Amino acid sequence: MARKILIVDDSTMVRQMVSFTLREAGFEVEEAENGQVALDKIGACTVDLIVTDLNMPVMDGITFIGHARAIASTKFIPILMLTTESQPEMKQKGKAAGATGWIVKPFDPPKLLGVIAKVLP
Amino acid sequence: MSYSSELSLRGDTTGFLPPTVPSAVLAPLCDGIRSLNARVAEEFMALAEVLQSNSMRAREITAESHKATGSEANLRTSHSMGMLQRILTDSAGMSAMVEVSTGKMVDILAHVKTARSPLKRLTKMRSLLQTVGVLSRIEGARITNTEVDLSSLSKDIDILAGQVELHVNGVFNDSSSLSQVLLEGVQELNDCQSQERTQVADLIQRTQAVLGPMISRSEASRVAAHDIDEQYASFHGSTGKVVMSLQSEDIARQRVEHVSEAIDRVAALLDSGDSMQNSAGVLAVQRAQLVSTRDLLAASVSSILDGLQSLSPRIRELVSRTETLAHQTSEDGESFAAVIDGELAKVSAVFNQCSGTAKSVLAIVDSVLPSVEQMIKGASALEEIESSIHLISLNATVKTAHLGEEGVAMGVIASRLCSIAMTSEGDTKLVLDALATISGALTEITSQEAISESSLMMTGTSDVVSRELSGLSESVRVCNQEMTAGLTQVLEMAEGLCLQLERGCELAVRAASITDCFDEQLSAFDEVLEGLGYTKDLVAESVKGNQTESLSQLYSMESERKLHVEVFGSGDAESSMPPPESVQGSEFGDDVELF
Repeated sequence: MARKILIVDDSTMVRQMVSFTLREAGFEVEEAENGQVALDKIGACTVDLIVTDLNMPVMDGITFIGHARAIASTKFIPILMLTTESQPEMKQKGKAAGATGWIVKPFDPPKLLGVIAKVLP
Repeated sequence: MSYSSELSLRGDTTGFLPPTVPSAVLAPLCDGIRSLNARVAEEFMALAEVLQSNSMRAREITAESHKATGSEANLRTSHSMGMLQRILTDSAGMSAMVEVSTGKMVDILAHVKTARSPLKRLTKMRSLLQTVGVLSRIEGARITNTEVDLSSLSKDIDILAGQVELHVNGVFNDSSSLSQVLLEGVQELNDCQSQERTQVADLIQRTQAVLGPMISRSEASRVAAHDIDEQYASFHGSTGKVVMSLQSEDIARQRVEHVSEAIDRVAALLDSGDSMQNSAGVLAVQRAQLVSTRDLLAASVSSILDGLQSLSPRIRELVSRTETLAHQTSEDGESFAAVIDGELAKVSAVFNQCSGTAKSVLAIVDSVLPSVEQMIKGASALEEIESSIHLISLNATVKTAHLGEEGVAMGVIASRLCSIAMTSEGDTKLVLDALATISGALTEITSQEAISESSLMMTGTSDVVSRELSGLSESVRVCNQEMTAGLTQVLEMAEGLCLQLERGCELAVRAASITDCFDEQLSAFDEVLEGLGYTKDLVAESVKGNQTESLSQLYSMESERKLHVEVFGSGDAESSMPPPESVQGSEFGDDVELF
């Protein structure tokens, strides 16, 4: 059975590109345009990994991770930040919120798949 | 590209206050800049659609080509080709087996001939014993000593003479019939052999002529499927670059939004009476950001176009190869099947003939085996008789001793008996040795590899072979039809993909016009700033006056910080940036960090 990955990003293009990359690699994909929609999705289905943007309307990535880590089903799953931000203090915030890793956009498809393969249990 | 070189501002303005309400002038500029995002999104989404549909089509082509070249019928053909190879191997094996067996039968004949000399000598043993028996009786009648009974001696010699006659004649007759059967068998096999050798060689040549092109075609299918896989892998590698380039849309969107927000803030500050000198640097950075974004998008579109264009020749090559293969398959398929139909009937006939001859060999062996066994039994019985003669000889010697002077003649008889036993013993051993060699040679014939490994020969009938061969013909026909249809489908799909790629290239060329939109907005930007009174000198003053420190608060993107350094030099922006993080040595590079 294919592993399911939730992509959280307000950019339709980024969601499409991540989805495309993951589906080509055999993953099942769920999409959400912000943190709040993502929380609704993880309440409705089980996911194996989350890839989230940082800056999003309604609910940003850091806040979303904080909420997700409080939910039993997503408490221990890998959550990767995928963002244009690369400031160390932002990475520190992400790490403190419970992110598993930080990837700076634009992502290289083989590299993204490599990181996912490494963190996915 | 720096603000001072890019922005063409004319003249100097001494007044630092804008001539009109800034927000009213800057608001349309912001709208124009924001509209860039919609245009970029439209173009890039169309390209993303091309990428995804091309990828899906390539996947479908791969699946279809695998289906076409690895069909069920292809597997059946492979099975039947394997069976045909086995038939060829078996036929050649059986032919060789017949040759070896014929040689061994000739050897057996020689051994039978060798055994006949001692057998002939053994036939004389009966008359010798009878003579000794008569002499024994005469001598017994002459002897007056009644305490020694010589009558039983004569009787025993007569009985042994009878037994010798029975067994020696049996062995001799068996050897005669064995010679006869072997002679006839060797003659028959020799007749078949020369004919078969030619036929088997011809069979192998003819069948290889059919199998060779079939194997080549099968190999061509495999290569074609491999090529398609390679093209798809290469296609997939190229899509990775396109995926990266398409993400520029998101980066550009964020940058353009930041530029708009910065201009809004400047307008608000100016409306509230802030000095133009304070905002000159901010606007210079935003302009540089727009230029940088334009260049980023131009480079991305160029990369996407390159990526799509690099795919076209590969797909065209694939189309060409598929077309050639489909054409070849269609043209050759029926003629293959026809040739197979014609040739394989002969293959079946030759196989059956080889099989029949090989079975004849086994039949000959089966028929001579009882004779050989009978001969061995007879010769073994002779060995026992010889033991008995020795005993009688010993008995006669003892009686001779009892008789003393009167038994001298009887001693001669006892001695003769002993001599007969010893002579026959040597001859019997020669016969038994020959029989052992014959028996071994017969076993070697039946245990040859061609017999033990050819289940077809042992179990197969002409019906089985014919069925297998007609199955081959049928599966070639079905495979040909399925493969031709599948490859035609692949061809159509690949041609469709070529058209899609062409359409994608057209879209990428159209998307290149995004830079024109950026240039329009940059001209408008310059005009508005000039109208407001921003000059080169003002920007220079802004930089000198260290008025840019607050800008760092606007920067959330690495590109903005780099641009700041580019516009203002390595001043406050760098110092306002956080210190560089220690390198984590991530196996995925600097843009990935795992916590």
